[in-house]
Amino acid sequence: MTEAAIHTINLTRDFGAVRAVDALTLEVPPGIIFGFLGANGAGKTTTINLLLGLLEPSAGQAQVLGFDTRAQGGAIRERAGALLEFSGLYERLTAEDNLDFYGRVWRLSAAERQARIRELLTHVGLYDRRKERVGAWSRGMKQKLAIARVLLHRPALIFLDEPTAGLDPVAAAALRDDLEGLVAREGVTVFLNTHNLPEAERLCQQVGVIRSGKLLTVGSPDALRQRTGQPQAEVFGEGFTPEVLALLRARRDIASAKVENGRLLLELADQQVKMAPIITALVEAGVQIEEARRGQASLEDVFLSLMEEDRAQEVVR
Amino acid sequence: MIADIWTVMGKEWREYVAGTGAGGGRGRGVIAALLLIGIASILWPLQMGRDLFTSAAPIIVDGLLLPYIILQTVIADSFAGERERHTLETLLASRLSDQAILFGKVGAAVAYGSAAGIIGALAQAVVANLSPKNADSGLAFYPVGSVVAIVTLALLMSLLTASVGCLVSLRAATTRQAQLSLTFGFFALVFAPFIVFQVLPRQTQATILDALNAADPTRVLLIFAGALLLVAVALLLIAMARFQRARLILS
Repeated sequence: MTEAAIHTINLTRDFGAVRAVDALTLEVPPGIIFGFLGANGAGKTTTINLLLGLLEPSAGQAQVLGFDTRAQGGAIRERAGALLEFSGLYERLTAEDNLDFYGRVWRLSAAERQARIRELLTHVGLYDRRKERVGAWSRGMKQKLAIARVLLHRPALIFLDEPTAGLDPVAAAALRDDLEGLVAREGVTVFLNTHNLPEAERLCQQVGVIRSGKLLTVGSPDALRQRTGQPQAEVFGEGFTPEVLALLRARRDIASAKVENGRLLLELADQQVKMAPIITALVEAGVQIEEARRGQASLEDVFLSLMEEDRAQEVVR
Repeated sequence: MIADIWTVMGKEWREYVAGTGAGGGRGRGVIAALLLIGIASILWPLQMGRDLFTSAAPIIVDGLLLPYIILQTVIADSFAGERERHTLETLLASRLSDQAILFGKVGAAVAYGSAAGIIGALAQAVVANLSPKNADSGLAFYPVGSVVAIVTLALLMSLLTASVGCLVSLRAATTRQAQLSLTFGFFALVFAPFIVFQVLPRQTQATILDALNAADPTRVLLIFAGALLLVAVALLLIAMARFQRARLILS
């Protein structure tokens, strides 16, 4: 239990009649980026607040870095860093003043603060702009600065709540690059709240999916794809007529077939299905194939299918 | 704990210096405060000349009014402003204790308000000495009693304003709402005694006036200072009790 960076048992939080986090049992090993995936209002932010000891759980318990969140919230916050929903930067102060303040909060010596500010701001490409007031900066720059602030005191664990939300794709990609580089260099455990699935797929070694406060599944993105998503194939070409689709749907080795954006999307019955007989059948049916490739369900497909399954079970209940 | 309070105080001061609002350059906050102190320190000391030093006016203006007026804006911003600008959550998620955050904010405000009162008194002393009314006389300054009264009252008034301001700011949704509450409270505090006095029977009014005229000014000042201290400490204790991370994080 003490080995895990985060360990929760039936962690629950109610707000009146609303159950924001519902019996969450989770173990996050140290040194990984853990993606906590869920739609808006799924309970991700409440979970971070519970893990930081900012909110009392209604039931259950959690240990973060070996400390109990109910009784030792201060010890957790001492050793963790957090970039919450907003960057939390003082916009009337300069970038350097912002980092200097939090460096003092974490009791870094003057020399250490100076060196660390230089190191982190250089890494995110903001050192030359350290004397500027943050208020005039773009959201992307602010988020980079906020990540530098989170890492300033070399925390063992950081919580990031939707760090790329609201950023344009270029800024989001740049932030992801910086985050990936910094996290790898600092060897820190990351608890990343996100609903950006490609981001989670790229950054996270493990992901958990939450819906209405309930944890639906946990595992590596690959394992989740294998467990939940069926193997897929894409075929580019011409001649995907309704008759061809009917022919494909009648086959045992194909679970579903549809045409999307001019390409044929096939969901295969299982991993053992071979593509060659399917392609032969398509050619015989008059389809002109330009390219065919086998793939796997994306994390997005897995996420959507989990949401759908849970919704269906809810209806049954 | 003390180091943490200093850290928060330092941050608050930097923000005071930077000034409120999104635009403007560095030092806008201090320039605005100095401008206000300057306006409050020119006309009447110029008219009074050396009489200023024997008058009770500087004790009221610099010991009570200036600290309140200067602090009202910044203290209203203390928690409500951080909430509005979404910096409060990050501060609460840091290792700082509740007391360090609260006392740091109160401490910075007390230092700022007291400094405003003392700078105001000094500026008025300079203007009074430059007044054409006493062109032939030498330099003069406040008697020791007045200096003690100005410094003590400026400190206590700043503490009271900071305590009530933090309490209001903790509850207010926006800085503007906190400022309005503080302004309303200030007017109620200033005018309520006069209104109450007016509705008292004539004989009671006369008794009160006689008692005030006969009272030793030092004693009146000490009682007033003691009352300020008591109220300020009581409000600070309430603010401490109301400062709850869970409630603040949800607000």
